Amino acid sequence: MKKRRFWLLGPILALWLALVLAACGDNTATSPITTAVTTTRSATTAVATTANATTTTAPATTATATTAAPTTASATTVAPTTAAVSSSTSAATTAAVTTSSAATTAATGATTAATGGSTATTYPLTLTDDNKRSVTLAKAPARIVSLAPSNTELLFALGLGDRVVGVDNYSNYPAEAAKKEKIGGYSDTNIEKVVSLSPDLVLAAGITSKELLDSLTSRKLTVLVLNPADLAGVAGNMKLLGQVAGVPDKGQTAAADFQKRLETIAAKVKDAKAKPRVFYELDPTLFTVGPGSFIDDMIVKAGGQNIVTDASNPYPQLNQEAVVSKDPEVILLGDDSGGVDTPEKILTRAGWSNISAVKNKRIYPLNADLVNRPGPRAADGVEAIAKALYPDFFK
Amino acid sequence: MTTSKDGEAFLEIRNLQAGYGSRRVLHDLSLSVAPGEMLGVIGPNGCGKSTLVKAVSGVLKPQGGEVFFEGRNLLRLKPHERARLLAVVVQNPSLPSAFTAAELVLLGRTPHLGAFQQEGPHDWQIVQEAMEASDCWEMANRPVGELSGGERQRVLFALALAQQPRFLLLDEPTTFLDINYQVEVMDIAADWLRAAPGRGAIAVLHDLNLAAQYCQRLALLSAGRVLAIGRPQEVITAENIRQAYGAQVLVTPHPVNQLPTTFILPGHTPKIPR
Amino acid sequence: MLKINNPNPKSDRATLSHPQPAASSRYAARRLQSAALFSTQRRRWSLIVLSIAGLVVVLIGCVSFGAVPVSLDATFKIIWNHTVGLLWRLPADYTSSQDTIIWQIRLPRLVLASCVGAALAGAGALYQGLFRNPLADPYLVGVAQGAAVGAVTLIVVPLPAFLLFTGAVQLGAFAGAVLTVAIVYNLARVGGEVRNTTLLLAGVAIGSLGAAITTLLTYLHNDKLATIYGWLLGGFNTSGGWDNVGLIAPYLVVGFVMVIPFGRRLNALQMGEEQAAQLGLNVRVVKLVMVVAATLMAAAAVSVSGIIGFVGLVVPHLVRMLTGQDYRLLVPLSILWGAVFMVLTDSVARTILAPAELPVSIITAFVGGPFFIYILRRKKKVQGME
Repeated sequence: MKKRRFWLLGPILALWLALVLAACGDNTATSPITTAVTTTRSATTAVATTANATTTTAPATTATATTAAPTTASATTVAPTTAAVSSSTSAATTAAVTTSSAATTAATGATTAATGGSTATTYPLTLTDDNKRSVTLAKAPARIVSLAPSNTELLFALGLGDRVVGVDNYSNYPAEAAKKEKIGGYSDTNIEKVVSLSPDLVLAAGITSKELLDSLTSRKLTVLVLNPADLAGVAGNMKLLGQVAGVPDKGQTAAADFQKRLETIAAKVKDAKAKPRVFYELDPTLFTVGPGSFIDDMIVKAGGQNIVTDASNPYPQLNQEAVVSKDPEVILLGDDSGGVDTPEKILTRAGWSNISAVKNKRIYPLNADLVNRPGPRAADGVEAIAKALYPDFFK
Repeated sequence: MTTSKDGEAFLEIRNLQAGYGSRRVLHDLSLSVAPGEMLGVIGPNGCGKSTLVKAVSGVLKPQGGEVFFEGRNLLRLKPHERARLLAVVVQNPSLPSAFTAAELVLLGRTPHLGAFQQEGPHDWQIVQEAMEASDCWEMANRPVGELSGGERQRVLFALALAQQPRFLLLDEPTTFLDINYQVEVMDIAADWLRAAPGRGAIAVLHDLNLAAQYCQRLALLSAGRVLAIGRPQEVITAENIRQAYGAQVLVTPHPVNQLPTTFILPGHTPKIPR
Repeated sequence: MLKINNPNPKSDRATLSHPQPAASSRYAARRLQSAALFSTQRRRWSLIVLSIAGLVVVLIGCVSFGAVPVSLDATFKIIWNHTVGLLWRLPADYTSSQDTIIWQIRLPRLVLASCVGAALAGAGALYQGLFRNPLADPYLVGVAQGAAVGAVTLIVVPLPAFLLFTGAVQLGAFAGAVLTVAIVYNLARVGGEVRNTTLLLAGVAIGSLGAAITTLLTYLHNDKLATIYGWLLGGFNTSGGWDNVGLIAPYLVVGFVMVIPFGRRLNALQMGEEQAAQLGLNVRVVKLVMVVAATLMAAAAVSVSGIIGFVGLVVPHLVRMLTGQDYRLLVPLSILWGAVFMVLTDSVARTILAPAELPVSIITAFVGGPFFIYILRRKKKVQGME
């Protein structure tokens, strides 16, 4: 009898394993970490909560994502979305793995861009955001709350700064943005504060958790998620935001400027004989960026070649041997604000002395605000990377 | 509160005071044991019998008084030095059930071995002798967890003997045992006492008849003080028992050896005169 | 009614010093048994020799596997030339990159993993013996939480430049762990006596306080979440080179030297503290020494590897189930098998997703948990008891 009961565990375990594997397939970083949290005795509650939130998110998100329907706005056509990737899952994952990179996504080119003409927007306007949510605006937004620095910068770049009534704690650019009302951080957004500002548009980002989105929409707030998967997505967001705010011309101009800057950089580095191999270090335990991540796109656009080519998730942790054997010519440090290793420290790492980047001392810390925010300054980030890769072309 | 009749103190407890925190259990207790003697300590629950064992064996730090063994102050000795002179057979210790009986008895060699010293064939020889002396060598290879109560008690006795002590403290060694094991355990103790000169023992017992049969002298404790001390006939009297225990009993000489034997009187409360 | 035995004659029993002549032949046969018992006991020590050999084999086996393939032949030559080769070199027909990977990355990593596994399993065995509690593990009295507080503090607090040396975080973790245990131990000391339950409760209380501090620091600095999380997950990926091995080796050696002679004392403690005291143990000193030794080992391990669960709990149990409860054997065997276990699991962690890494604590849990259950159930069947 007992034995039979024991065997009942079999199907349960199989089901559980299938769920885990499914979650792994969705985004490999999620499940192992969740498992680790439950098995490592002293994982802190904050981390545990984040990870739990991630797991609970996954099934729910798929449901929301499928509700996206083809929508039309009276004046503009919303570009049909291509890939059906639940980017909010990856967004929640990102919160657990790397907060420093504000906008990250597993979406492989889900870019929603308004492609309409340059005439003024007509309201009510219905469109689809980066999370494939259908969003309807009754009139041009006059009170906007931004939940991420990239969104804040985007708003200011489009000259919408005076419509911004609240920003998150990390919005520090441009200087006026820092003076706006603060609504909290990413995981501790003060919903009461947001509501009290009575915004007619809340701009969320990839970092915004599913729970926060739900709780904002349930309070009848209009929430638009901007979560570009790559640099082209940033330009798309500029056009989209111009459309939404009723300033489509400014959106078009900003997007064109942004594209032009990227083209200028591309033109400068196109004479390079070979693309340098790049290792992008997120933290000292060798978490890095892989294909499918925003930063990978920045590296590519800056004329570099990421040594990570075949990772199963956009933010893999690389084996040290792999770094040594791939012999990067340039090492980029994702954060220059401390807490991670400095170039001097990396020069002294055991076993790294044969790496070209170490031999030639080509280790460059990057301004985290430029590389981690998928906003207008991402172009500056690409330029910073290009300068690090090709110092000769930028003299 | 006087020393033994011959005045030749082997183990001498002088004005021992002990207790737990502010609660004093033993009040100026003085006892002495002569060589070759087994002193029985009897008394009702809570009279301080176990506290006496703990204080003498160094588990409980006394609040005052001294314990001399052949002129050396036991309480001042290092724990391992004391453990070479004095061994305790405890009442009901928790035993590591996966140990074999022989491994358990080997622990008795602890006070004789240095920190980095391994036990040799000599120590195993002593283990064997100790186990033979307490009649449990047959179970040497059996896990302690599988032994019966009587077997366990004999193994514990062997453990104490393996310490090769000069003095034994028996803390209710027969509790929970059937009479055949009670007799056996007490016989082992008596044999050990006689086997070599210069040995002594204190046995804390709750069975008055067992105490009368095996102990040359008895000390009756009550509320942490010695109520009566002397030969069994002097100590085990109906009057003493009534005073110490508040129980009405009948004491008659043993039919074979004339030692005092206590009979309970069911239904009799202390109020009823005998 | 009057059938009472005369207590004195017991002719069928030998006394300690005077065996009865009649029985002497029987006892002669038994005396051989005592010698036999002694030699079986002695033979068990060969298990330690065997385990050392096993560790060496596992180390050699695992060093030839990795994210970057290096042939066994080249691996052997590289190790040879760095050790014995100082006297007699073999031809260096391998690349310098291979040399770097084997000698500066893979081998130190394996050695560090074995040290950490040894320390955690050793500390676990000590605590299980000391507390007579099968659920005790190295993190019981606050080592992990303390280390986390120390490490996270050094990660999030902007430090003056002179404190930004390599290993500052490790040092912070070590100091945090040792300090926490010291606080717990002192809290648990009531009137010069440290009771096990008080120690456990104080450990739990201070541990949750430490966890709260870690959470708070993480919360306030969630821009450093990735780094903090990377540390908490634990692993050996960037425990670079021989430096870290050198960093923890002294503590391990001190811990091991303190522990080995305490096997018999731990055995005595299994009978309870009172009985142990009656056997001549200075229980207070023994307890202090063992807590210090276990703390040094666990703290050193945690400081270089982060928090790796399960090793300290499973390995001592495994050893106990297979060899018995004798701590003289249990502690050194736990140390050796902990090393083997950790080397194996880390090898899985660094190769299964190559070139990516998997945190080793996931593997230890995945391998350790089911294996532990298997052993438990086997044991149940064999003994028919709890």
